[in-house]
Amino acid sequence: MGFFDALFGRTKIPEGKTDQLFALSTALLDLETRLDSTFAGQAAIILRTVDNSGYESLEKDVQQILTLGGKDMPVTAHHVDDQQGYRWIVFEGKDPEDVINALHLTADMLKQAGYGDSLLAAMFAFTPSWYLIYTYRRAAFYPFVPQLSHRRDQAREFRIAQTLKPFMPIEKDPERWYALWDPPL
Amino acid sequence: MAKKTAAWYGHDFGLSFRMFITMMLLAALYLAFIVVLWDAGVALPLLILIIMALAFSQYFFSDSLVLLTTGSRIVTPQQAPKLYAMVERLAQLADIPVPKIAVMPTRMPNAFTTGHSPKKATITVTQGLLDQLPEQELEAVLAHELTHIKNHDVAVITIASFFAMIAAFIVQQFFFFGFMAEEDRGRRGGQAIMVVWLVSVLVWAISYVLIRTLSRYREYAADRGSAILTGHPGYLASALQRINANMARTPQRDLRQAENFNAFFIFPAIRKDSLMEIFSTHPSLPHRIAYLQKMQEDMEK
Repeated sequence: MGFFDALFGRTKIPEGKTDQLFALSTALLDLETRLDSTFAGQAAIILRTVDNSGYESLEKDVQQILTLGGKDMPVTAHHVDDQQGYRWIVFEGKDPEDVINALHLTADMLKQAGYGDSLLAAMFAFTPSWYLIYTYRRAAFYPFVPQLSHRRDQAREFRIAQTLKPFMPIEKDPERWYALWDPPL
Repeated sequence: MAKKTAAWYGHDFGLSFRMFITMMLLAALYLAFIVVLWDAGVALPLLILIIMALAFSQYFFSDSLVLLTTGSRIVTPQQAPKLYAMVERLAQLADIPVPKIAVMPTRMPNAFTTGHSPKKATITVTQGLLDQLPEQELEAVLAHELTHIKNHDVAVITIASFFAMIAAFIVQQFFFFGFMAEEDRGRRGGQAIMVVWLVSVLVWAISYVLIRTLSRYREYAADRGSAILTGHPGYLASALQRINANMARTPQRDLRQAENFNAFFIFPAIRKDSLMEIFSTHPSLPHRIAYLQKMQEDMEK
């Protein structure tokens, strides 16, 4: 958002950037060995629900991609609507590569359908109990370690970020490590 | 394939254009003002010094001053987990840092934003807003305030108000400057001071209307941003209606106390009939609802 956009009140939400997502595929091996943790078999796209009729028909397209993918990729998907008006399209599968692929295909489809600005984030669950979040606004990853009653283990998040830095784009500004509480993953 | 729905999204050219015209008029007015001041030979060094100090303090301390005088207190994510969860996601969508949140202990439902940059921003909501609005409408109001932050509205309005403030200051300090100039320049000074005073009144009056016009356009822009961020123009529309209805029920005393903070509020705390729209910081409710409805229609195209 430039100076003149601010001056004239042109609210711009940057298009979701999906291209850096595959950095996770290449970094996965390093991630698992260096952090001694494994992919928990679940990932999700978090999407802002939009109030128009086109959005409802979108649901069919998502299912279509998944059933098409189902033949090649052992990935299942379902969606959860949370109380805050966001839709979680949850992907499950043993092989992280397949899950990342399915998630990427879906995000690309959503973007082409004109919902690029509704893409909030993608979230990957890892054991033991932490998440990697890909933010579509900033095309970068950051760790999220939730604890009880909306607290975060900031020390652990910082350590994870430091470890992963050489292998994938990590969001530099910790102020942009937005929390995503109560994920259905 | 779902159709591309880009038409409603992005910016409203007409609105930007009107903002541009308003700002050009303001700039022209200020330039004329400076020329007249210069011609009149005002004791410049002192004037500039005082004005600079005022402007600086307004720009940097006004937000904490507002928080202090409204009795608002900043809440932590642990104290208001739901509120922060909501704001955090909206901030991620809008790509701005998560602002601080403060709660103002009054039953009048309202919200306002302070802080001259997105990193320093604070959103204040009243207890009444938290109590009386359903979650979706509360989120629409928060999205409206977040758009103010993203659009740097506090800085824009503060800077736009700069010369209006100088003019008001001169009008108020008329006698003070009058004596000063009399000593300095003798007879000729009296006339010059009279001119300065008249011009100051004029500048103040015109900029008052222009700044308020600009403020109204920024409100439309923030309403638009709220609709984009939440994806539902209808939520903000119903929130505005609810706030309006509950405002009318609030006792008078509360209203008058609140009037000074109007420029920052999502909804001005003035009774409907008390001012004409051209003098108000916010567009009228029917106009805002109509604007949101039009957005809703555009989204369906």
